[in-house]
Amino acid sequence: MSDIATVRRRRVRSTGLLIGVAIVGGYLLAALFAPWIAPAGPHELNVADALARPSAEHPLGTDDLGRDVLSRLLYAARVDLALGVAAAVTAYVLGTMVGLVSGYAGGWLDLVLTRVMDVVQTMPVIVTIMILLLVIGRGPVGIVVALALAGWVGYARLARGTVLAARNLDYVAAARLAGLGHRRVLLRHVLPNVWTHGVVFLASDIVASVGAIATMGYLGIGLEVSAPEWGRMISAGQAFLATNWWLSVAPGLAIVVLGLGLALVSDGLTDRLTDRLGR
Amino acid sequence: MRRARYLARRVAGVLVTLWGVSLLLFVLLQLQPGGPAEAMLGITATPSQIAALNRELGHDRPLPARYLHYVAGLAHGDLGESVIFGRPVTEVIAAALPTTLKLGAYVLLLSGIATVSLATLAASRRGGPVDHVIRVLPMVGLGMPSFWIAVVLLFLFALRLPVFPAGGLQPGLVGGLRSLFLPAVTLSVVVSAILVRSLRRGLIDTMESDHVTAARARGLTGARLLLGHVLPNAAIPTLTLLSLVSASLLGGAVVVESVFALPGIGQLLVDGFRRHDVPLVMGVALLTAVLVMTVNLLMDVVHALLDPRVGPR
Repeated sequence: MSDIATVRRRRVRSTGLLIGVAIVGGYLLAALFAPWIAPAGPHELNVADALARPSAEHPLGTDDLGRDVLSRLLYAARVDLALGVAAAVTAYVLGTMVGLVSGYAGGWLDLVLTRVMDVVQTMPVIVTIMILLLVIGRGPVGIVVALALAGWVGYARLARGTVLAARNLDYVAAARLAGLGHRRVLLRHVLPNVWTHGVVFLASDIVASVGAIATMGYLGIGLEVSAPEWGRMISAGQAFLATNWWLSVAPGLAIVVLGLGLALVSDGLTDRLTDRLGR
Repeated sequence: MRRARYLARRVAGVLVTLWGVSLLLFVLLQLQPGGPAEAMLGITATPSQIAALNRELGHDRPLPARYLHYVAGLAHGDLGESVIFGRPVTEVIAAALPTTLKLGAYVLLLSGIATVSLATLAASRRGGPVDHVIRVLPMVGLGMPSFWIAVVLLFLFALRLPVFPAGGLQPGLVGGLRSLFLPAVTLSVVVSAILVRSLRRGLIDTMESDHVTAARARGLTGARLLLGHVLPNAAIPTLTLLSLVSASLLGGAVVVESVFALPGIGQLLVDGFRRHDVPLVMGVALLTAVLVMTVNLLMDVVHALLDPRVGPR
């Protein structure tokens, strides 16, 4: 590819990254400042004003109990984002650690750990989550733990692969020869190579986590609290799809736009990373 | 011979993994607070009821004995009795499985058509606006949870424009094809979103390869070049990807069956979960693992047939 084309492509990509960061930042701000931005409280009932069409007072209308949909959407961002990010980050840390140990140790430990990864990946994520929720329970912590235990394998494989490549590099061998212990070599010399790759994956994994939380909310098998949640809003609105379609479509769009933002971030980061590595 | 040895080793690997899945499910079953009986009967159960059900389930025996009993049951195809249906789990699953398999076949067909045509279109107009759109679309598709795509399709093509039924499975071939169409499209969007990018890449790489140039030099063009020389080679990485997708496809089926009220195993899983029918949930989970492993194995066989280099060196 010509240099000009490369530069142009890179510029398009960094614009994409910028847009992505702006979208994700917007969500974070909305979630953080929901109590100040939202026109009403998430549980404020007004049955007389139920199923109102969008208006200046209620930009996205009201639901069947007369609650302001925009406000609920903003408050739901807190639940979905907090749980989604917490689950993805937990999976990232857990998976990277397991992959690090597995790749660095080798031998029987590596064999056992990769087998465990195979087993976990054999079942669909949603099925694994459901089984874990049966055991752990459906509180916020339970949801985060179940999602993380179902989703760590991708990170572990990524980390393990990077470690296997890094293990034989000269500077790692030099660190060992210099008499450094395994722990120090792992954390100081191998880990810095590993975590950056995981971060790219993390951005797209947050989308998957939020999607899983919303899916469970929609199916009525998710979080057992009264706080508004995007998935539950979609299923609650489904009964009024013929007349008030925005009740279901608005929370769905909230998820889709967040997904798009995170995909742009992930893509942009990949580009930055490969540029830095000179590939 | 080498290929047969390779496949035999893969089958052995699959069996080990399935044993791992069954062990994992057993361990999780034991970890349930209060044991499976208390979890099944709920908080209103009396201690004597719990003790009785625990005895019936063999939960009062020592752990190794329980494990042996569980494995012996599995070996006989006995997955226990469903609490909500009061029938053996295997029977309940066997009744629901055909719906899910039909849905899966439908999805493979639709997503196969969509993936091949979109990827070919993008690869043949590389760098153009069409290519760009086809490359960006999957990003949007992947960000959408499948249940939401389902709800939107339901709204557009069952409510606004009542072309397809809003739910349930109609009898007969035409009825089945009609009622499974929207669910199948939903999942095809997700599957094609993953596959299109990979096949586009594969097509572009293959079109630039020497053997395709040679075929072109011999005067081959159009469909013969594409079907005979480009696609079989370009499809190999995408097939590998498809075996990775099979698990998420099955997960998507769980969700979509619930949205469209289709009587498949996904519906069973969700019902079982809601009403704490542990044997049913565990049975369906084990079945999904078996299905995913079977698809992966099939893909390996196809891969080995398409690519003679496959196998241990």
